[in-house]
Amino acid sequence: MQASVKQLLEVDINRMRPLVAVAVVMAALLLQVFLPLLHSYANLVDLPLLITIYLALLRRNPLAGLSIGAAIGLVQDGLSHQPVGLFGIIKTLIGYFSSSLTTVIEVESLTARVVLVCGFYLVHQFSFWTMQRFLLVQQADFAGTRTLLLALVNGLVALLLYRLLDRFREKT
Amino acid sequence: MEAFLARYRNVTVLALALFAQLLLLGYQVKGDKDVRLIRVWAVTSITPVARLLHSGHQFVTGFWGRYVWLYGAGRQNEQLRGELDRLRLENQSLRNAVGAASRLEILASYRQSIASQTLIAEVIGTGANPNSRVVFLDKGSGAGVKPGMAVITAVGIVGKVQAVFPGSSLVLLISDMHSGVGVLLESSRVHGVLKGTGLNQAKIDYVPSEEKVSVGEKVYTSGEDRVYPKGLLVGTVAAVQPGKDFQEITLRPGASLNRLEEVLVVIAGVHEELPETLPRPQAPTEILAAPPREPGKDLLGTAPQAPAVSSGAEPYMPQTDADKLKKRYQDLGRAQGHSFGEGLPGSKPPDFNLGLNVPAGRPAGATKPPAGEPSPPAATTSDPAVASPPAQAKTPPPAPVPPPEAPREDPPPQTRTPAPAPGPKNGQPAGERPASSTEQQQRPPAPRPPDR
Repeated sequence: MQASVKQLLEVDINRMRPLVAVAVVMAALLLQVFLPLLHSYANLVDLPLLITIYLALLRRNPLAGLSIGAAIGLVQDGLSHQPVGLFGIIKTLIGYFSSSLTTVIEVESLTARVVLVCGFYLVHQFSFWTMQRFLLVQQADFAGTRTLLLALVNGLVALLLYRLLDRFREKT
Repeated sequence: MEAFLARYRNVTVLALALFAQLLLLGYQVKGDKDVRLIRVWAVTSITPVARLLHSGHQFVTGFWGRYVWLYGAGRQNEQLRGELDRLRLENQSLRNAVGAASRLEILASYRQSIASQTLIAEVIGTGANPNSRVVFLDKGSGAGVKPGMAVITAVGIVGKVQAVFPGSSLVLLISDMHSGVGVLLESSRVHGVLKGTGLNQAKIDYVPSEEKVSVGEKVYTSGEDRVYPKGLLVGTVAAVQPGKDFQEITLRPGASLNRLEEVLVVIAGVHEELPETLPRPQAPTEILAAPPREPGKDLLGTAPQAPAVSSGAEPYMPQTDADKLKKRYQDLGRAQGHSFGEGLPGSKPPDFNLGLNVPAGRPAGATKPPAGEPSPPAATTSDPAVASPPAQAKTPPPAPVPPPEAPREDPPPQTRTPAPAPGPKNGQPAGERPASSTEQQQRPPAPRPPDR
């Protein structure tokens, strides 16, 4: 029964061309660098994280998910002042578990996407704070309420963003 | 093993990926090193696109803002023009305030530097007659201004108060044709009269043709007009033309008479000397040879006084006529047993017409002082100014002795006696020069001169 459901899902999978996926990743990283110049509120949205979740959900393969997460995370590390690997480790985990969840829950619905993004955003922020605080022994504060609100904001942005990205998907 | 790896392949790959990145982190944190390769790749791949994106954004926003979205631009333009005009006026007002503050600061500083008592006033208007050079001040009789008071600035005199009203006063400028000021040329010290020409310049009259006057020479007030205190700067000589009897000297006033704003009214004038830095005239003086003296007597007809010294120093000789006269009075007093300064008012003074009957070979200065009068101390130093008078003081012939009531006004510079002290000091009588410690050791204590 489980196998048949999986086969059914694979049939309906709408893939994204590799070039388009790379372009989307590059655009996300670019906008993450550029948009805060136009408005400081752009810093509230973690576009690389949203793209990681989206592509990982799209691939439905944990190995592909962790690879996508690791690649995006390492590039994001390269564009930041943090040691390389901090975002890489977190987004590797996010990509892996996002892809793994596709075999358990239906991720095509909007509600499920929003909940997933909010949850992964919280995990992402908490993991980041934990690693920064205990692994790198750096001064860092974890503002719970603010993180919760930002998780909702990112969830709402993900709704719009995923709708936009769905247009680039192709049926295979 | 293969079955295990196949079953847990995903988890194994995840663990390896995490382990590799943890190693990377540890390498950076522990070794304090950077993984530059990853950063270079990330930055190199992102920044060119970011630059393009930024340029495109600037172009779009610039085009949109400058050529498309012009709603309200006209209104905003008018508003900004109004704002610009307001700011220009404000800027001008602030500049004027800064200038006025600077001028007042200079004026206040000058006011403290002069001895005369002054009052700061502002020029509030000029005269209605275009031919007259007058200005109105905002201070009048209510502030203590009176007609005839001098009006000056830090850079030169302005004029004198001609008429006074309760809240204002009228000042006749020195450039007015009816104005006259007694002036003094800086280097030659020649006196002249400054007269206005009706223009921005004035002229100095009554300067003889033989006097050398140079362009740029400073001119000061002489104080002879009883309006302007002596020593105030008037201006500088602008041009000098030779004349028949007197030179035609044009003066450029130091004060800008056509741009006056703040001035000082001299409430109580005090004459001052010209600045010390000015070169004093050093006219060559010719000294005649000494006339033949009567043996054993000086010009006063008295025998030369022996020095009251017991050492081998040269005898003390009175150098000036006043010293000689004082010495004669002292000897007369001693000869008649009179002690100066001890009698009551109205007591009989010594007879100064008797003359001295000093035995031959006994100098008057060696007479025994009366009882109670200290004997002159012996000289212990060899001060050339006292014990050994300079050659200039010895060689010049003594000038004709003026009567005591009319002392010589201009003694030679080498023997010029300083001005008398204003009052008794340290038991010294008034009118005597306070002697230095060295002089007090060498010179006998001088008794008080007789009351005249």
